[in-house]
Amino acid sequence: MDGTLAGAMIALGAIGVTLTYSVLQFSNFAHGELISIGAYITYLIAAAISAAVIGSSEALAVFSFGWNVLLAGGVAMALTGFLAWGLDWLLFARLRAKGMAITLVMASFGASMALRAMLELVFSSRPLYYTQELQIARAIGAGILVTPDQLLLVAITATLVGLLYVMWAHTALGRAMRAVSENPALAQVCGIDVPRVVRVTWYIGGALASAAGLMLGLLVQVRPQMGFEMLLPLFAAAILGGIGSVPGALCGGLIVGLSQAATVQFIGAEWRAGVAFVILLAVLLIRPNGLFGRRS
Amino acid sequence: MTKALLQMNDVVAGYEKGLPIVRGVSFTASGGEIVAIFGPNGAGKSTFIKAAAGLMPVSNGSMLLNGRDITQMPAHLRARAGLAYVPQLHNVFATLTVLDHLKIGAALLPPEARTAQIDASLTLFPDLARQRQTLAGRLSGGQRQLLSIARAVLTQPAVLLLDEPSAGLSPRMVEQVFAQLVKIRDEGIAIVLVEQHVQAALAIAERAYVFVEGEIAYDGPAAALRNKSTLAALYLSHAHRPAATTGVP
Repeated sequence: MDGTLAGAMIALGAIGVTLTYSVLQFSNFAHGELISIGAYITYLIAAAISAAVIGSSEALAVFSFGWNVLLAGGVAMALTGFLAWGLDWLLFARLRAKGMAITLVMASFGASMALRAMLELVFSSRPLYYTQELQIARAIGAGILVTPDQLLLVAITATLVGLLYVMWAHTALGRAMRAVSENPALAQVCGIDVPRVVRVTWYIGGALASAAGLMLGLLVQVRPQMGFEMLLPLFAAAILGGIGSVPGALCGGLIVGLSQAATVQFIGAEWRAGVAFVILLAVLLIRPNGLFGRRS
Repeated sequence: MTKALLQMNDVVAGYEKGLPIVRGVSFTASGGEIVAIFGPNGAGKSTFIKAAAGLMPVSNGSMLLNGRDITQMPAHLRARAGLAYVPQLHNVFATLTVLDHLKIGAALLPPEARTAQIDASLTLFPDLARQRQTLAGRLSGGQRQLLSIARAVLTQPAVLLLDEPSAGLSPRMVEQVFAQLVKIRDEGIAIVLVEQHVQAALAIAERAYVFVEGEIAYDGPAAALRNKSTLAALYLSHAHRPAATTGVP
């Protein structure tokens, strides 16, 4: 179950990475910070709701958190989406206009460091928690132990990924995004507003990153480094799935998450972080297009 | 033939500022006519048609579509204003299905007209109707060309710009593509056809332009170019011509 949950979190982040890469053709190394920022925004809004509405932070049914966290998570997704869009407007769009791909990548490194430092400055490195409640895992058969929070988070991930897949595969916006990712010039002459598709891509990527931040914050803790530490698994999952493939990012996330959990179980926790790196190297060497990627 | 739908006046265009490829070209295309553009390699034909589509910076001149100034209009708005463009290469999205392409084209129409237009398009292009769920990347070169034309025509454009639609196609497929162009022309659409396959294009075109070194060397009836030596003379002689020839060369 730990592996599935880790995979779900990685998948949400990897989908953002893969969308950004396929539509904008660059690796956004600041994506991890969108996860952290989403988690912090959720924390701040949940605290504000808790202060304004008495009882909103009391544990909801079998879960360890109150409805304030769920509401805050939804609002944070919307705000982080706008923030990602704003980051593009402020930084990446200007560099993209000059047509320097490598500059964009380096700028994303810079943005990543700046945003992380800003979080440390504002919130310090001290971890924050959405809830102090403890949950007891329950057996659901086949020797699997799971907490209600974990089940809910898997269900939220499945819903988000399902909605995203329907959008990607069956709506005009999804067709436009797929068209822009393959050939922006042709998309333009087909009447597709490419700058709008770019904005929507940032927005969706930011919103999903925020959802991953909420999950990570609920299951572990909220820290400025939390997103940065997810970066390697995110890229490993996106590349394993095949850059540009939403189903690929989901499968890649689950494979990386389950591999990490299996490593902790059978080899040792200290090797957990190395698994993503090994998967990344293996995919690049054996199948550079990934599981679902198209051949160039 | 009806009124001029596309007017380009004294257009200067090129990839880099100060290095124009198209140099002061004036051009018109009217509804219900096919206007062919010929010229040797490097004459600026494709650059000109890209400039018309909004994919190439224009440093001077003006462009009117149906009387509306589109000189500074982005490419996607030109498509919505009624200017459809079919590039020579990479003219379909390999990972999208035939139906996806038609839906992308139909997205420019009012919602109530979309399904009917897609159906009409599949009737006009029966080859595509049989493969509506096939990925465009799996179609033959000719089928891709037809799909690209079908997507463009489905938007009900005023003007259809085609950049060498016969490139890489078998003679039979060229015949099929050109037969479709005649049908499209007969619906009142202005077709601008950049083409190396001169005789096939002359057979269906009403008027023609010959570009040499980024300028117009000939502007007149297509029939006047059916003599091969006339065209060859135009290709070779323009360098020292003071001005474009109008009418019979």
